[in-house]
Formats: sequence, structure tokens, C-alpha cells
Amino acid sequence: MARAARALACCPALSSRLAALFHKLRAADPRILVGAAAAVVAAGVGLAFLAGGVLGLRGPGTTTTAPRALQVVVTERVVHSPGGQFGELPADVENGVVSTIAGYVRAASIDAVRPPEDGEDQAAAPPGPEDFFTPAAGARLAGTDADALTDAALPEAKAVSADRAAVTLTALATGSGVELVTATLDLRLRAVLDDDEVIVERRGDLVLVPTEAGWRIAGYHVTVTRTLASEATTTTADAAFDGVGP
Amino acid sequence: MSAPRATASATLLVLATVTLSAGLLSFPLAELATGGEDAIEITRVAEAEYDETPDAPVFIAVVGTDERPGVGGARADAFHVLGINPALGRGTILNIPRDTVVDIPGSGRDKINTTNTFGGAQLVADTVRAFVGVDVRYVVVTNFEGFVNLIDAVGGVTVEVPVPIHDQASGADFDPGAVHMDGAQALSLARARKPFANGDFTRTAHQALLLLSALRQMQAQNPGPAETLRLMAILLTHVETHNLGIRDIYGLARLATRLDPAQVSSVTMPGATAAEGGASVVVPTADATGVFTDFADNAIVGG
Repeated sequence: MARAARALACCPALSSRLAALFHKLRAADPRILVGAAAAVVAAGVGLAFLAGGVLGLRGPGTTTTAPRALQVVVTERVVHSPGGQFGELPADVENGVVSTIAGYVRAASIDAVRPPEDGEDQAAAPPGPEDFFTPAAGARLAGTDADALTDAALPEAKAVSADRAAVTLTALATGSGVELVTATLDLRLRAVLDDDEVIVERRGDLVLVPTEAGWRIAGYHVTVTRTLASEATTTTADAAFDGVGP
Repeated sequence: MSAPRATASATLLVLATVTLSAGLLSFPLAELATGGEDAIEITRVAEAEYDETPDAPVFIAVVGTDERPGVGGARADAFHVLGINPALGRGTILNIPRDTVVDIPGSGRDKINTTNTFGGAQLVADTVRAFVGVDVRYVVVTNFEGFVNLIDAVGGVTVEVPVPIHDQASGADFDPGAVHMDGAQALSLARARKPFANGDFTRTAHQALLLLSALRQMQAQNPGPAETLRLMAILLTHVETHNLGIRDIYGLARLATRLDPAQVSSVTMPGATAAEGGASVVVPTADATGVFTDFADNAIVGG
């Protein structure tokens, strides 16, 4: 709530309008009062999101239509190799990389903002975004890069859909095979809140390396833009971590 | 030079930033036309005890040799130690004149330019550790041909020439100002020594100037991760690596992209010429101790 309050404080004009509305309704039907209070809280949530997005509030549980089987489209594949003799990107590499990216997007932007589905086994928690990163990069998800890499701070959404989830894959291959892949990400998600809609656009590069557990995100250069539909207001966050090398 | 190569100037130089300064030579430009193998080698020194934390300073020895086709016994005619402090985004190129006499581990007292000949990258690292006090993680060695090819592969390098340099011996012929140099021209700049009263000191400073110019050029192009992979592929066609993986190279390349050239200083070891054993040598002066201590502390010399 403190964050919501700060968000309201950041926008005094709207805050005073909401306060005036609340005052006008005080003597009215308690049910209306409750509704107004809810509206204030909802506005606070929205404003908190606009103010930076780190908000621990969740709305009431509602039916979620999250895209559990997120489709990530590969729009282009480029393979660089010394001498240029490697050929095309192997299917197993592409599949592994795409699977990791889809898992990351699902964990960071969909599972993170949806309520549990009916009948969902609460004990079997889905993978978290950190499961798709190398340990060094994953550790940064809990730090300053979290806002750019995940949408966990958004209010709970009734529905989340992917308008666009595309990557361009660029690989570096040597005689040992594909050793590094960058995925240039173009992601557009739509999260339906109780009374509003948020468009999340995340763009940039993910750097993936092969590990024993499969392809993992070791580095990133990502910018996220979040736009609240009703206010046409945008916040951005970016983060970069090379995460590979000496 | 193919089109892709010509446009590749960015990150290749990153790594190569390290490689570039090495262009030394004491050979006639006519030999530029000779064939031969690319000879740029990057070695990760195996036995040093490194601080592996991500933001720990990284030290890289850059050695240019006078090796050329048909002539062995390569000496180091350019000798630099590049220190990068990732946390501060700053760095220093420590220029060590080639005739500097040092204690070479296991070999006694000799010029630093003999280390690569006697013991390769490992001895270079061991000598730098004993002399300067830093743990060198990577050693980059290039000969004259590798240097020229690399500069050409990245489309040349633009250098802000500080003083008139006209030297028949090296072929350098530059007026002050910005000059876009191909590999041969850059080599002539790196070699020019005779026009200067303190020739070896000025030459080593000009070699560092080449490094910084390359870094500046790379920074201006701001290559992203995907572009870095493309440039790495080009680099790897010219470079032989030892004990060094793709991830190391990528990390080095990205490290260089984070360095602001304005935050990289070129510092030449304080020294004086002297005669020792009948040879003209360079010995460090008392001021060198402070420079080395600063450098070893955080890769930054001075404030």
C-alpha cells in the first residue's frame, strides 16, 4: 500500500479527483462506498505500476486465459563461423533455444501475473524465470534487473495474451558446433487487468549458451516498455549483462 | 577484402583492440607483400591465480613481434599491458619500451622483448607478474603480417596523428590530424622510431594510440551481441587461440564495448636509457614503482 500511496502522490491531480469522488460518496449507500474504495485502490494499483511497476498487490482471483503453450516464432536464422563453412542452424539447437525462450517468457510474463487456474496443483510450482538462466545471470533477476526482465511486479491479470513473440537467431559456430546464440527478441504481451489493460513490449538481445541442462540465458540487453491503455502512459526499464566470458 | 570484412570494423577490433598495438616491425614495407600465415595468437595463461569475480580487473599482455616469413626467433618489439577495470569502466594501457631490462623468471636479466622468444605466452605472463606485479590472464601475440591483415580486415583505423611523422625507415608519412590508415600505414606508424629523440618511448606511445583509436572506432559502431558474433567469426579466421574458449572471446569483446575510450589512459613506463653489457637498454626510474603499484591495484594509474 505504501507503494500505491507513493504512486498517488506522484500524480496529485488524479489523486485529488479520486479523493473528491470518495468524499462525495461517503454518505451514500455503503455498497457504493465499497465500490468507490475499490476504484481508488484500483487506480492506485495502476498508478503504482506507472510509477515504476514494483507493486506487490494482487487483485481478486479471476478466470485466466494465459497462453500456456506460447508460440515463439523464429523470423530469421543466421549462422556465423570462421571461414563461413558451418551451414544452417541445426534443428536441435533452434528447438532448444526456442524452448528456453518460450519457457522464460511464460515464467516471467505470464505465470508471474496470472492467478492459479482451477484445479492447478499448487504444490507443483511451474518453473520460475531463473530456471531458464545460467546461475550468474539468474541471480540478477532478484536484483536491479528484475523490472526489465520480468513482469512479476504487475498487478494480477485476468488474462494474458501474446500479440507477438518473435526472435531472430544469430549463432556462432565452430568445429565444435554452435557455441553461442543471440536471440533478438520482439515480444508484445497484453495483460487484462480488472479495469484496464497493459501492453508490455520487451525487445533486445538474449545471449544463450549450451549447458548440461540445455540452452540457458547467460546474458541480456533488454528494454521493456509498459503502457497502460487508459492513460496512454508508458514506463520503460532496461538492463544489460554480458554474463559470458572471463 | 570482402564487403563483410570491410564493414566489420567494430567488435573485431575489440578483441583485437588488444591485438592491434602489436604492430611493430623493423622490416621493410616491401615485405608486406609476402605471403605467410596469419600470426595472431591469443592465449589464456593457464596457471595464474585469478580473481574470477566478474568485476575484477583483467590484465592482458599485448606483444608485437618482428617475426616474418622465413625468419624465426621472434622478439617482442611492442610490449604493452592492458588493464581493464570492468566495475569502473576504465582502463590503462601500460606501455613498456621494448629494450627495458627486467628479471626474466628462470632466464636471468635481459630485455623484456626476449620473453616471447624464450618462453612464449607463459613466460611473458610470468615476467609481467614479476616486473609489474599484475596477473596477466591473456597474452596476445601478433607479428607484422597478422597486424596488417587484421587492420585491413576491419576496414582500417582512423588515428588522430599528434605530430608530424615522416620516417623513411618505417615508411610513416603523416601530417598531424585525423588519418584513416590501412594496415600498412598503421604498421608504419607503429614502427616509426627514428624521427624522435626519445624514439622507443614515443614509438610505444604511438602503438598505444593505435589501440585507443581502434577502441574508439569500435565504440562508435556500438555493436550489439548479434553483431559481436559476426565479428568474432571474422576474428577467428585470423586468430589462433590457446586455452581460450568462445565464451572467453565473447566476454573479452563485450568487455571492450563497455570501455569508454576517453576513460582509457595511455601510460608509458617511466624510464631512462642506459648502457648495460654493451647494449643500449631502458631501465625503469624510481617513478615506475608508483605507476606499477597503481596499475596493479585496480588497473587505473593516477586518479
